[in-house]
Amino acid sequence: MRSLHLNAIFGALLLTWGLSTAAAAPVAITHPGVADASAGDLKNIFLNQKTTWGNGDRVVLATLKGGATHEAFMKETVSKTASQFKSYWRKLVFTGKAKLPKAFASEAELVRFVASTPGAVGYIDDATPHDGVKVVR
Amino acid sequence: MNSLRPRQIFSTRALIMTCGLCAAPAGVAMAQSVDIHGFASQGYLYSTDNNFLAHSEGGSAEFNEFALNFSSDLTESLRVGMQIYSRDLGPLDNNKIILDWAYGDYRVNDAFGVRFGRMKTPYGLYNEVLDLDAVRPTAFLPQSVYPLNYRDFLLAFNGAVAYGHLETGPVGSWDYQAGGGYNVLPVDGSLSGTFGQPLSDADNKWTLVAALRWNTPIEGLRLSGTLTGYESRLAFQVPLETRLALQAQGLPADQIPRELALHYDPIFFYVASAEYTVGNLVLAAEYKRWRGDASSSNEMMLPAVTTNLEGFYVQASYRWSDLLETSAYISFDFDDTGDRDGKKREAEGEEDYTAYTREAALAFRFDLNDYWLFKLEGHYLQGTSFLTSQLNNDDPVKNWALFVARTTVTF
Repeated sequence: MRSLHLNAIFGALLLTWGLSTAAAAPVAITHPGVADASAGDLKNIFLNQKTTWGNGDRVVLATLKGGATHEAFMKETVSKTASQFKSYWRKLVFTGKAKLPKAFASEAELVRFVASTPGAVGYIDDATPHDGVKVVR
Repeated sequence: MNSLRPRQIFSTRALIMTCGLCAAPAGVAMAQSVDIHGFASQGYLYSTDNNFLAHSEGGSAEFNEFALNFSSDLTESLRVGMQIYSRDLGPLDNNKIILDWAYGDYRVNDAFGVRFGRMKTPYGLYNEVLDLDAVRPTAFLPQSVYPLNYRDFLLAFNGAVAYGHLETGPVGSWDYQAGGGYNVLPVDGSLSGTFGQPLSDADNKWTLVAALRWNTPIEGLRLSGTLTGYESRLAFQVPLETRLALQAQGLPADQIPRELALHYDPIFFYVASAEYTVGNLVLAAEYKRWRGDASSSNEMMLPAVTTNLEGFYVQASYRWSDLLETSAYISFDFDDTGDRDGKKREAEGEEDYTAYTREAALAFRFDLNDYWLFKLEGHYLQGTSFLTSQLNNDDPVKNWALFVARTTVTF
């Protein structure tokens, strides 16, 4: 009985670990009208170093306010921690070099914004429904 | 009383025009988007000996900063913005409100843009955010490279810069800024404290700025070099008692000037920097050199000045959690690269330790939430080179400690 009980606990832990790992699988999404988004450009885009798309449209950034998807995207794609990303943008804002990107509390809100805003780019968890946007691979 | 010189009038008009540029279209675009951000900060300084920036020996709360900025995108390529700023730092500024920056930014593409108006000076890695407590782990940037006594000189200038970001494939990318203009130096600002004499006139004829940052192919490593140059004239009134004393010694009154001036033609500030970020760890090192000769309007009464300052620091910061970040640095400041141990200074009859400052600092930053932070830090210092005579009339003490507490709200 005891070993069965422990197995159940380990099983639950593995499931929890698996879920948390799955929750940190961010993908970038763009408005469907963006034709030339590439994974290689995402870092420059989120650091305000690439501000226009190939067709001349302006890049409109959409970020999450926090959470596992935000932290994972920053780490994997932008090569910064969430805290470093916040400081980076504050430096731009307080020297007049850029406006703070729009930040959303939920991924569903972010998807709606990206779907309805020409030039918009953001990121969500791979498992989040994302009708009306294009996924950057 | 000082009258406005033509260039100062031009400067005032230019800034008003820039503000007008900000205000009118921003008002139109209000429903669209005008971003407003700001911060408020209050600190407390306590030193065991000597007075650092304020009357810190015994403690001083004369250490606050406030700023409010507005910005808007007028078109796809043109954005405008401005920031007003106020601080009280010991005898400096007393919460006078100033226009910190106000400029238009026309970005042709990512590789080339132009900013025009009043903007922050690119000096070292962090000068443009010198006042922004929220983006650094310590309450002050290391004074060996970013001396607050020279804030009026260093912080901002009026003019134009070209800027851009260049991708160069396997060798990384580059950010550049280059331009120039002039600086409006307040006579009652930090320079008076630095020279230990009230200025009667401070005129900057031109300012040159150039900055190149290399984002190397090594992830997290960036290297930077900046150059700023100034041609300036700083004038000091000769006190009445000095003039009377000279007369009493037999010098004819018509040969005693009422004003003495130093002419920096020019002075250059160089900074070489490296920053390496790996995960939650940030390592930074910067080396500063200020070099220039100033001629005197009367060498008998005011000797010519050679500026040969040097400073450098190495800093490590680590964020342990959303709440806590710690940072430590060591820093060295020398009044004269040829006199790092102060022996020349000693031969001139002063204490050797007035020629240098060696500093070690340990800082704790607590982010209470996304907007509010609190910092506590301790500094151990040997030497007094970056203290001002304005605040340290008595003999300065060689070994001393400084403690800083600071809280800042940013939105």
